Order: sequence, then structure tokens, then C-alpha cells
Amino acid sequence: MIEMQNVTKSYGDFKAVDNLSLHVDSGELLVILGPSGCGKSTTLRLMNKMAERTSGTIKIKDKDIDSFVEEDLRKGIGYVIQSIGLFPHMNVWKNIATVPQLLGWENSSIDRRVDELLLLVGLKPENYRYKKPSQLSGGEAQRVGVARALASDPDILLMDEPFGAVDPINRLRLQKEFRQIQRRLGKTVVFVTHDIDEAILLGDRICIMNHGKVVSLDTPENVVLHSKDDFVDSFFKGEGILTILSRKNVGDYMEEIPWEGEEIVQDSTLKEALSLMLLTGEDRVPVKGGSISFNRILQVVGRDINEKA
Amino acid sequence: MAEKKDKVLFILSALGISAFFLFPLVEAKPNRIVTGEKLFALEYLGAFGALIIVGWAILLALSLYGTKRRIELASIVGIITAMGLLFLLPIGAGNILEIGANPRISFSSSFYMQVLLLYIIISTYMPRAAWSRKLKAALGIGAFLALGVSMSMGYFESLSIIKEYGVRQRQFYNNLYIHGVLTFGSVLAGCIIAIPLGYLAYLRKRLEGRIMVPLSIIETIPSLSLFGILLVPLSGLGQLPFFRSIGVSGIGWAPAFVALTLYTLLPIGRNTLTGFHSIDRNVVQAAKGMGMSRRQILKKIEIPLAFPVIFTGVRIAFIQTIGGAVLAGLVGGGGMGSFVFLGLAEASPDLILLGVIPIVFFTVVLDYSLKAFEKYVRRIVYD
Repeated sequence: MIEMQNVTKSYGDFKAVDNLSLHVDSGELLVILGPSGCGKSTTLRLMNKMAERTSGTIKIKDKDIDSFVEEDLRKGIGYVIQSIGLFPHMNVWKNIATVPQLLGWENSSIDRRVDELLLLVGLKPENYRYKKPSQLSGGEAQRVGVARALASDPDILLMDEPFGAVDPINRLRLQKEFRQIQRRLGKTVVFVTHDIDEAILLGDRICIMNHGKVVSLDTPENVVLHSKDDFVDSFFKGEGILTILSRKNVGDYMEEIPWEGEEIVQDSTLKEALSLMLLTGEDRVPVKGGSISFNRILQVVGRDINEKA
Repeated sequence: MAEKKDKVLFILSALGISAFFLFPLVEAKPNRIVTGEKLFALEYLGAFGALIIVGWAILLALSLYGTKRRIELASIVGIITAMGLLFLLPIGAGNILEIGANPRISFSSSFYMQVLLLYIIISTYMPRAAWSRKLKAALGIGAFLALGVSMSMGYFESLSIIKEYGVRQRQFYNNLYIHGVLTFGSVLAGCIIAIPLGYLAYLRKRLEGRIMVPLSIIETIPSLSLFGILLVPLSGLGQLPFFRSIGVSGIGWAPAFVALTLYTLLPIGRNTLTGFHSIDRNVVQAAKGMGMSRRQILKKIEIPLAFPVIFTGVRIAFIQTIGGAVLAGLVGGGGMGSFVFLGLAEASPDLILLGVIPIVFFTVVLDYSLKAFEKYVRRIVYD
């Protein structure tokens, strides 16, 4: 879907992006992770020409991005930035309708689309359609930002730390909901963040960048459990492993052994099951229709290690 | 809270009472040339004067013995006293027939002081009164209407300023018209020049100093010197047939118009720059990222967001120009300044007032209505 070949972006002598090659599959959620100043935002901005590359080629759907009129290229790609950038003088309806209006849609189909998108991001259309951004909470504004980026149903979404300004509790909810939406709609997403947990939770693959170069590009499991790179190790410091567990559902690993106690649902994550074990002091917790043991969780992590090896 | 004494109201009403007794209210003259006789309120108004002092006494009492409705009562008593003061003035004229059959009554110090104090009281308390906005507007408009109607019916005939007005009615409206055209014209020209300049300064950081510094320098030139500076180039320009035919010369409307326009450039230009600078960069980034062209960003995002701040600049320019346009009278440009400078030359305070009072009136009205509009615009844009 997106193909970057030997792309460099320099500001004078400084190379923000250094001879970078990258490939994003259709329907994939690729997270670009790295410390500030590593060039991850610039990489993203090169894709929709918000920044002009110095050399190299970028192709979107097998077409060189230089063959598009800049504005048309951007209209076809959803774009969400950290501060959201909702237009403060327009209500939610007008914000979401921006790109469809630029594309010359009819008002009736825009109306339908706005309502559909508001429902998709979990906001009641009748309550939110005519609200101004100043009347929204941070989480609500972020949902509107996502809805706005999806307005013209683009195949590709570029997201630059979209949930960075949201409080931790709402952030987790937004992340989970967004992952579901992305899976359901099959959008190709490039997602920039410096939050390790967010990267592991959301990414199909994680691209770790440092000094404008790709250090590692692999699935979250492999990046966390089998890294052979010192920078990646120092970046994670073993922190990612619990988040790996939060990607996995209890239902997939449970055994049909009955167990006494308060049951958790099969949709719960392994991380939640492990937390419960730590809280109750037992090495097995009941799940609806069976139970899951501490050893099983150890095996899950271990199996991932073995799969790689 | 209402039980507390109101020190401000106490001082204001005590000053009002002192002004009532210690200074003359009017100056009565048998005709325009002779020096008049200064009369105190009680001398001039006789028993009617007691009505005014009752008003002041109530205000004083309100300051000492608070009631729950002090703010509303102070506003209403203030309005009544002020209206009483104005409407009783012609009545007194009948009491002083010995000065002449048809005396001219000019305001004197006590009148100015009391009007000023009442204005302070009304403008302090009325906005805080627990009345609906409609009632407040109705009170204000009603008071002005009452004044206007009685004026047009000849009620204030004996006042000297009205006599001056009667004699110069045609000139008055002509000057008022010129004053209005000069004001609106200069502000409009200022907008046409300064808004693009401000936008240019915003677009090109390098040019910001080169644009804003000259505008600030213009603002520091005293208007008289500016007329002097303009005299030479404008009279030169007036030599050209086209400019001569529209009346450009070193004196007259041209230097006044140019000077007033120059003075509007800083408030409008600076507010334009500030308005564009105050736009969140991320909003513009988001708009660009969504595929808006430079023009669409300007039209749909930047201008609407910068507009309230720019409009504030235009309002400031308006208020400044209404007053500033008086100086047009100095260079033969017409406007209400003609009365002011003629009055100064003839030592006729009433003539000066004839020029100044409408300016004060329009300044207040324009400031109020533009502010109301500004508030409305801000609400639409930001909330």
C-alpha cells in the first residue's frame, strides 16, 4: 500500500530521515516508535507531502506520490495529529464534513456520512452534531478527530501521536476502540507514537526508529521478546512484556478445568488474568467455562520465544 | 452584603451635593455678546431646584443605608436626577426675566460637574443592575428619545447651545455629514491598506519589522505636524488636473483624510497581525493535511479565526478617528471641528459644545454598538 525506497530528508547538514526504506501492507497497522527527534513524525509527513523529501521515492498504491496534485493526495489520505487540530470555529458536523465538502459531495450524503462516523467512534449524533470543539472533552475531541480523518473513507490513515493529549484511562479505551474500528474497516494505518505500550497494543508490526534510520521492524512479540539490538533492548528495558499479554485473550488459552471464585470473561486479556493472580495470590483464576493457570501464561510467552528461535 | 456602606456612591453623591450648592449652574446672557450673569441652582431654578437636591439626597441616603436593591435604586434615581437636571434647565429661564425677554442660558461649572457625576453613577450601577438586557436598552433609548423629541419640539429653545444650533442648522448637518464621511472613509481606507499589510507581515516574518515599525512611527507624529508634512506633497499633487478636479490641495479635506487614514493603520494593521498570529498552528497544519489549498485555508480557516481580533482593531480605529476628525476643522476640512475652532476663535463656549456634544454622543453610541457586535462575532467564532 505504501512503499518508501531510500528516502532521505535533510535540513541543511542534519538528516532527519536517513536513507529509509519501508513497506506497509494493505490493511496493516504499522506503528513507528522511537524517542523524540528520531524522525518518526517526519517520516509520516513525507508520505502525504506535508514535508518534501530530499531524495528517494515514495509510492502509494503503486503510484509515485509526485504524480498526484498535492492537495488531491492529501484528500485521499486521512490525517490525525496529536493536538487534533479541530477547527475551533466550526461545529462537529462541519469539522467532519470538511473533506467531503472539498470533494463536492451532496449535503444529504454528507449528513448521512457524519452520523455514521459519529456512531462509529461512539458519539451519539443527535448530541454531538452541532457542538463546538470548545464544548468537547479531550477524549471526545479525539474521537471527532478520528471521525474527521475517516470522513471520505480513505484507504490510508496517517496518525501522529493521536492519543497523546488524552488522559491515561480514556487513552486505553480509545486505543482498544480504535483497534477494533481499524480491524473492522480494514484501513491501512501508519501510527506514530513514543508510547511503548501503545505501540505493542496497537501494532501489527512495530518499526523502531533512531537517528532517522529503522533500527528494527517486526511484530510486537518479536520486537519485545527476541530483539538482538542493544538500542531496542535499552528502549524497552523489559517493559513491553506485560503489554504483549494484553494483546491476547484469555479465551484462546484457557483450559476446561473448573475453578472456584469470581469468574472473568473470555474476552479478558492475559494481562488482566495475571493481575488477578497477583491480587488473589493463587496461580489459577476461573474463567467462564473453565480456568487459566499461571503456567499457561508462562508457556504463552515461552512459546513465542520458541517460535522465533 | 447589601447592608454595607457604599463608599464610592457616598463620595459621588457628596460631591454632587457640593457641586449643587457651591458652583453656579448656568450663565444667563441677554444676548450673545454681553458677558452674562452666573446663577446658582436655587437662584435659577427656584423651588424646582429642590427636586434635584432631593435626587442627590436619596443617592446619599442609599450609600449609607443599604437596601437589597441599592444598585437598581441608584441607577433609577441617577437617571431621574440627570433627566430632571436637563429638563428643568429651560423652566428656570422663566424665573430670570429681568435679564431680558429672551435670555441665552449657557451651562456652567455646577452643571458639568453634576452631569459627569451622574454619568459615573449611572454607568457604574446600571450594568450591574438585575434587569434584563432589553429593559436596560429600553431605558437608554427612552432617555435619548425623550431628549430628542423635546428638543425637536423646541422645549430647549432658551438654551444658548440650542440657539446656536438653530442659527446654524444647515451648517450643523453639513458638518455632521462631512464628519461622518471623513470618519468612515478613513477607516475604510485604513482597512483596505492595513489589513493586507498586517497579513503580509504575518506571512513573511522578515517583513514584519519593516511593516510594523513605520506604522508605529506614524502614530507618534502629532497631528499638527502631520498636517504640516502633508501640506507640501498634497499641494503638489493638487497641481495635477485629476487631483485638482476632486479637490485635493494642501488644505481642506485631503490632508485631513490622509492624516486620519494614516492614524488608523497601526491599530488595524497590528490587530490583523495579532489576529493571524493567534491562530493555533496545529489547526492550519490539520487543514493543510486534509488537502485544503493555501487559498481555502485562508478563506475557511485563517480569516474567520482572525476576524474578531481584526474587528477589535477596526473598532479602536473608529473611536480614535471620530475624535481625531475634529482636527479637520483646523485645516478647513469641515466636520464638527469647524464649530470647535470657530467657537475657540470667537470665545463662544456654546459653539464649541455644539461641535463636541454630537461627537461624544456618536463616540459612545458607536463604541457600544461595535462592542456588542464584536461580542456577538466572538461568540459565533469561538464557542
